[in-house]
Amino acid sequence: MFKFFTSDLRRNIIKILCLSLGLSVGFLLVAKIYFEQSYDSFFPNIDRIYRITESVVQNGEYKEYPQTPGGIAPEMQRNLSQIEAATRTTVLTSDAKVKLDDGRSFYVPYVLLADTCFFDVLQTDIVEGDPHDVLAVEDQVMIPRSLASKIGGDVIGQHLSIIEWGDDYKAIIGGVYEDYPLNSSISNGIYMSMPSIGKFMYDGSEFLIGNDRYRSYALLVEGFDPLDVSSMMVEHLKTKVEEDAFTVHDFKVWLRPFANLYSSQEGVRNMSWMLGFLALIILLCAGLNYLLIVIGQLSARGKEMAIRKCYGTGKKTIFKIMMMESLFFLVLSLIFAILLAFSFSDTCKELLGYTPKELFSTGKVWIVEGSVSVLLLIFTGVIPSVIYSKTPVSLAFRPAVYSRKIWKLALLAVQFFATGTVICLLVLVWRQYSMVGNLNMGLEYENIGVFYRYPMSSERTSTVMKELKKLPFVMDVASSDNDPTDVWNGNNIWTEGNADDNVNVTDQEFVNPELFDVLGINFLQGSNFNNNADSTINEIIVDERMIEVLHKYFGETDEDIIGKNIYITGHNWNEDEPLHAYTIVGVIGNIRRGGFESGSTDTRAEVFFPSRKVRGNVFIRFTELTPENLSAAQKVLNSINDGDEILITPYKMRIDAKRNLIKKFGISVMVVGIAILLIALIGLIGYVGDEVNRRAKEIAIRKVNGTDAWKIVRLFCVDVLKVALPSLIFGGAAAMIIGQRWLSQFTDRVSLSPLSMIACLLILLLLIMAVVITNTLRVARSNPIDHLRSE
Amino acid sequence: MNIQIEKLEKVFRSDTVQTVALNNVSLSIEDGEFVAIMGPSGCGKSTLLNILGLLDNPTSGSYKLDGKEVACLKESGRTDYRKGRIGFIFQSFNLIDTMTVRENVMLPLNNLPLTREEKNKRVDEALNRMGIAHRAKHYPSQLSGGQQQRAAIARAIVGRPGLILADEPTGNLDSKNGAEVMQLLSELHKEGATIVMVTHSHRDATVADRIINLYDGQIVDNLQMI
Repeated sequence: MFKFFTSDLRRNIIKILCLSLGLSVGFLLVAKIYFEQSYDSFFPNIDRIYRITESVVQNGEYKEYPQTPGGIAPEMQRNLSQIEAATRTTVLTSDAKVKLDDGRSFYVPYVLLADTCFFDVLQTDIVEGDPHDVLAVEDQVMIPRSLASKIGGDVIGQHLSIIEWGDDYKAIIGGVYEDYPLNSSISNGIYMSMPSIGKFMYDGSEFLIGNDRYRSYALLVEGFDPLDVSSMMVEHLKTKVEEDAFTVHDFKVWLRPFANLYSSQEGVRNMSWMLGFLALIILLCAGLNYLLIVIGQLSARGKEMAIRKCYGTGKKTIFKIMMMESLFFLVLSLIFAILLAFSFSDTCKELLGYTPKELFSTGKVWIVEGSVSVLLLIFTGVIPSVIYSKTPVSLAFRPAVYSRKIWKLALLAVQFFATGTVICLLVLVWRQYSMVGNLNMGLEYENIGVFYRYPMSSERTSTVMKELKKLPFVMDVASSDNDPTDVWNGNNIWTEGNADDNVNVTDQEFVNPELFDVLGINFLQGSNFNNNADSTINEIIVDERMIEVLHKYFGETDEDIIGKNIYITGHNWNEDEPLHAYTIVGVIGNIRRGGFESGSTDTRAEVFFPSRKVRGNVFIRFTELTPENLSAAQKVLNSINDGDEILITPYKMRIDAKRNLIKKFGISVMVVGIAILLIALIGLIGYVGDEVNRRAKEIAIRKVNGTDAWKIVRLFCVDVLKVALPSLIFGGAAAMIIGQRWLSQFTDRVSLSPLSMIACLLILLLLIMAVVITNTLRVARSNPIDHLRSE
Repeated sequence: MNIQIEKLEKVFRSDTVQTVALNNVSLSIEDGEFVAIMGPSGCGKSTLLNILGLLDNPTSGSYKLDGKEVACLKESGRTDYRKGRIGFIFQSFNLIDTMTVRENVMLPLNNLPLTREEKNKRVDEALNRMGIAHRAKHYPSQLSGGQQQRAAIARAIVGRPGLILADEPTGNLDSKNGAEVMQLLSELHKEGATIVMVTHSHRDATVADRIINLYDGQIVDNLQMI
């Protein structure tokens, strides 16, 4: 039954290997694209769910914010009949560790505040409890089923404390909701009742303007146009909020469809586009390679088909035979592909963010993968079937003379093109990665250790800092509220007489004055805070961007801004007192904040406030950050810390993590690149082997007539070169176009550098030529008689 | 070209079988001589011809061509030595299907240090001599058997070799075309070429100066024609 498989075992195994490799990588990429593009699509009535979005025009610039004031959602639900339900939620803490009374602890991605109709708007299945009751009462929480399963037993009524906040506060589990799938914008976190807000933060949950920290969602009544409802929302707000907000800042709230909120993001669209291109290329290469081998088998299998035809086999039957064979190869390759994907599960998780199991179980991804398989079957089945069903009967009586070189070269050309594109792209990605690694961050991170002190008390942390300073290899220790390289919420600033022209800046909150020395941050103007400066002093340090802000928006003309006064929101602790101005005492060089992609890089000016108290992030400057020094510092910390383990990590790890997106994309391209290169080289070896066999007699005759081995090798090289050179050039050009699109997402980017592309293509060309030479030289050196004798 | 062979042996070995194709063959062929080699199938005629044509190496023994020992040459050395010195004519013509008659005839000249004009001149001469100049632009498949063999002979002589080796040159031809080919070989011999021809045909063999009979890899008869 499987004689067709065993009769040409070597080629058939290569067919399966290439298809398996291509399908494995291709299907994972397709699943990842489906995962990203089907984000949030599982919500019932997704076409009626909208996120309430806010926009303003500030200093002539249009700005859109995903968060709104807390009162917007309930206000709209109460007053607009077109809105069936509206809700708002805000994050209390992320990556939190929660503890039960029995001492067991669990990690949760988020602890959030939500109001009673949160699960109505998102149409979430409730496993236990009634969220309308639970989320109406202080200290009550709804937890996801996954957490309830981990806790086990009857979870209702159990107490949860959030380790970060200490043991004093305990929430009560009031209900359980069904987990959202992995590709959901809504977190499987712990949702705490909105009335609990006062225990954690200033309660601005009913504000209609300001305190924009809430994600608000609305479920429209069926049949209403979101644009009309958006207009109604603005009109309604105008009756509630001072007119200035609308006339000065063109403040608007409007409905944005929840369905494509995630997939329409620039970064997601870019990634899906790139991954789609890679998937198409690798699947195409795998299919083409299959065809290349099938065409290589023509002389042997063509005779078989001709003999079958002699005995009455019709075209339809031959078509069916070939389709069945293709199906056999495809199914076998699919099995190997899935095994291959699952055997590299960890790598897949690292690169694509999810395991093959998670990706392949997303929604109806099997329909997409199935469709791709059917397309592949048509591609790899129909073409050979047509070729073989057209085999002339006369082939049974005379030797087969096939000249399918053009076909084969065309197939090879596509593979070379794909290889050229992906490998050039790979080089570009690595160049970008290296460039980003060498960028000036605006601070030193090489010999810095860092730890986040919570839940350790400030007293113990203070002792740790003192003890660490005593270590001979520790130069200094300082703490800050934020990591200066991360993106933080901002506050608005203005100068005297310009209260209407606010500009949003990054508020780095409070830092110990020593922080600037510990992180090696340079002062361009002025100097550091006084060593005794604390939060009661109205002094601030800003970065170089602030000079531009003061010039551009507030009419400042002096380059030296030391001594200038600015006002800032969020630092007025007593609301009854008028805002007071802060004096700039120092200007530091710009620190790079956020990731390296345009959307995640924060380019706002920033401001630092002084504090003598211990803050959340503790930075340690070592003379040299060796594993031994780090370990000794960790011992000091452990000896004082009495709670859960807190780790000191090299600050460089945090910085490197910011480059991870590029690194992961680079490795993904590398995996695809290696797979395509392998497939193309296997295809090339097959092509050369077939050509050598097909032209064996010609080679022998040439040799008999005095042509030497190298001239024969050159014949094959020229043949392949004619195809490889233009294909690679086109591949390089395609890589430049795709690379340009990919690079557009970065604030700092390498040049496309045609020279590096040319070098890369030349190396590929040499590799291709090396494969041709090694595969033809043996035959070119063989005795010509062997081939003439067989004639 | 002068050929001296001493105690030549050729053994083919496979995993299980060892076949002695030539056994202690000694032979001398003078410059300008026309020798026919005859014998039953499998007696070693073609093997001897391949060794004479430097297409294969003997297992042992000595082979001197114009006084130079060539029995132990490597493949590249044999290829080098063949250039312009030896011309081949095969029973199955062995023309390259994808090349025109002209390109086929040009083949040996591509490996010789000649100017383009000289190469073209020699090809034209060879084609004219073989009477197939009008077929120069045709492909082998468009030619009759006789014309194909003429093209093969043209290719064999275009490099003006000192030695022409013919392996059953009339084997695939009808009697008329066969006679014409033998006539051409006879003319080449008269012009001074050394020719060694393997044949089953007694009539063709009579054109030669000498007939050597092989049997089981050994020379059993060496007849000088009068």
